[in-house]
Amino acid sequence: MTGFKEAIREYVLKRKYNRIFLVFTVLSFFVISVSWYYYPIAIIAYSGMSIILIVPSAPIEYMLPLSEEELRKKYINMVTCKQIKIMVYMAVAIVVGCIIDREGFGNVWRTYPEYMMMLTGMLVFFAFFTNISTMGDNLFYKNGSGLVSRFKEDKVNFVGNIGMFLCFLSIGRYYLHLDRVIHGTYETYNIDMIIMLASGVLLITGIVGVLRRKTIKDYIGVNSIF
Amino acid sequence: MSALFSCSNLTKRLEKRDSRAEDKGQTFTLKDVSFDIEAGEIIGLIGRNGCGKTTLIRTILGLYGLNGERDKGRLELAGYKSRSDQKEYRKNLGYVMIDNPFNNYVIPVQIGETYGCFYDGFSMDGYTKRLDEYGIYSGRKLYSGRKSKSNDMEELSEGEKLKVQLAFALSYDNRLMVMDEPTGNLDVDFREDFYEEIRRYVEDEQHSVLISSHIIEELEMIADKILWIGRRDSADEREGYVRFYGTQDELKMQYRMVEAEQSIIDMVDGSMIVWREVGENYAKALVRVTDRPLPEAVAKHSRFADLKEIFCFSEKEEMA
Repeated sequence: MTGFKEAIREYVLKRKYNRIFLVFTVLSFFVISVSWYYYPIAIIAYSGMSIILIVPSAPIEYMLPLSEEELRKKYINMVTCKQIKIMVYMAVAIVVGCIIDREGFGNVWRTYPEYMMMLTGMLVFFAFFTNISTMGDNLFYKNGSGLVSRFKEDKVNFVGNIGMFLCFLSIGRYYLHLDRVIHGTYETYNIDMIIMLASGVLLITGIVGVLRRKTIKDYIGVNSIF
Repeated sequence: MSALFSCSNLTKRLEKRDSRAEDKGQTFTLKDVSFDIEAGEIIGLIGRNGCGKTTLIRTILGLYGLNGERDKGRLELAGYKSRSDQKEYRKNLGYVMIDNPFNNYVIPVQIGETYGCFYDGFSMDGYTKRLDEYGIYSGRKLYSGRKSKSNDMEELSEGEKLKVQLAFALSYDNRLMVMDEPTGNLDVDFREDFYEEIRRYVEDEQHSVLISSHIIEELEMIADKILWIGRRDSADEREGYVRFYGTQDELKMQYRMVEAEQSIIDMVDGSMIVWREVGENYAKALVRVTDRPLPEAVAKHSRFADLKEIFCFSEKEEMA
């Protein structure tokens, strides 16, 4: 099984690098709020996070009858899928954040209802069908079963995705007007802080939950790779 | 005629830092394991805890690679090598494991829908039919309109998870079924059906089974050959090795159980005695007779030991 292990090592970072990327990701939340010039750094950081999160969650993934090339393609697809999702989330959230910032939170649905519905639909689509989990492979293999709902099997990852979206939404709100957080009015401060706190809690929950799943000793494949 | 499955000089090392090593303080090495399985055979894999049975099974299935510096060996199934013909090798494997290998957050039918495509000849109808026969709800198929209530794998009992694995493994064309302690959690009435499935699986003499179990009596009923993995411990290293591989008769011919007064047992050369128990009015001993026969006075008090006695008393003495 030499090729399998090499394939994983080639496309999945070793655990110590995962930790570095995680720290970098957390720091990027702060730097991007200083200036939107740091947006590319955040993209790199979140792309790194996507690699962290692609480790398969069940031993069956390591036993499937796949050639080395097929395994490599499978994991490239998973990484690409995750990266696309993160970038879409970021772009949508920053756009929505700007709209909210300009129109006010209460007015955005009244002013742009069709855009909000479209964006919400896009986000739900990506949340359900591009989560990194075992069933995500259905997108890339013709097995005749179509797409399978992953909400039930991937609750923690889904929660994390909501948190991620809200974090980006907060970033979209903040990067132009950081001073509102620090010196803002009472009303604005409350809404911003609620969004920030809620998104932070959800995101941390998602990250911790996903990482715990990936490193649970029962899932022997994780430890056999590294 | 070449064997269906061949394991040649397999050595697999698990380092101290590796969390799979049962004792993280020790390095474990499964050393120089060689055995062949002919088509139509059922091989019983026995050994005490920590000897390397599960390590061997996981290496055969591909969960453990042979990538370490000290790893070596060759695995070949139906003419396909595990490294160079990885895909074809794995297609010919079926598996039932005590640790559920499937995702816990899916219903049984989704396992067939997701993974069945990887295996030649997989029959979804056959799979769902077996699930129903085993008393597992086959589950809701999302896009066909067929509906029935089903639980996630996480909500099933350990025995039910084994049944799902068995249903999956019997639903595609494989040549070797590898089972890691499959019967411990099965209910009594299904256990007989389980062994009947195994007998049916091998009766065409094109398929074989490698089954590890701590229930020696059941292996004694069903296994054609026994692969006994022994265990050696040193200060910082544990080693598994092939202690015996052959038919049950060949193994039983090597031992006798002597039940007599202590004075009779004392006639046996100490080096031949594997295990001894002395009570107030009786004495028993397991004696190894490969090097020389028993004295005549002892032989008339002896009988062939059964598989459980050979295994249990041998291992008990080693652990003491």
